[in-house]
Amino acid sequence: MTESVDFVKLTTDPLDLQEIVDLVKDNGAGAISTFSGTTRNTFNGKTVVQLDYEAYTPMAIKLLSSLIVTARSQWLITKAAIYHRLGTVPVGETSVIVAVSTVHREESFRAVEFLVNELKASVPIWKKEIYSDGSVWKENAESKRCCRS
Amino acid sequence: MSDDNKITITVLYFASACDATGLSSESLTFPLPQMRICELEDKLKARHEKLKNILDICMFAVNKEYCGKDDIVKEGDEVAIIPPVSGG
Repeated sequence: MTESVDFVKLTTDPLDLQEIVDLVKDNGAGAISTFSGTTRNTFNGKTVVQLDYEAYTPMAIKLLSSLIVTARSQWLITKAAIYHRLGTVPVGETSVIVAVSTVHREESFRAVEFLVNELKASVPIWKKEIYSDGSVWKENAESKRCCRS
Repeated sequence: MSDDNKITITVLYFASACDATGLSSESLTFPLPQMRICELEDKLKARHEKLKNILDICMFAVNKEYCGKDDIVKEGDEVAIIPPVSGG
């Protein structure tokens, strides 16, 4: 039985960085890089009360898993984990964690950056910012958009 | 008994598309053996007035894979309307 080396999860539970670091920890890997995305309290001067995340979960899991496969084709990755929170996330809490272990540090930096950038560009997850006087669905600047032919 | 001259598909709406239609999904039947995504797009615009502007910036996915406007939708397909994403 081979040990699982990639971990992809969408969850309504709070994210625990140490738990995710422990998932990718490996005695053969000298480096673990992590990225934590946290929810901000203001947008264009408006006070954000909370954020609501939703996902097309089966497609998001599939895409996140395939992003790790792509990363593995570019860098020698020991283990990788991508956890994204769904549902209501209070301001200041962590909405996403990406963690990668590699033999040497340079590859873990590159792989984490790649995975975060690709997640923000193409994985079907959405966040709605709730203000005291309304709400808006956000759009990442790097999000894929339809181009009318 | 399947009918080769019509298709029934499931359309999924997320985020702003869900708000605009008031639906997270719907099952639709069309009297065609198959259709292109761009044809489905026109039918959805006609069906949901508030979806018109939103659809112009949305991506489509068929059975959990991003697709192009000329791709084909067939009987039983799950078509997702994907507004610009904002994960992270």
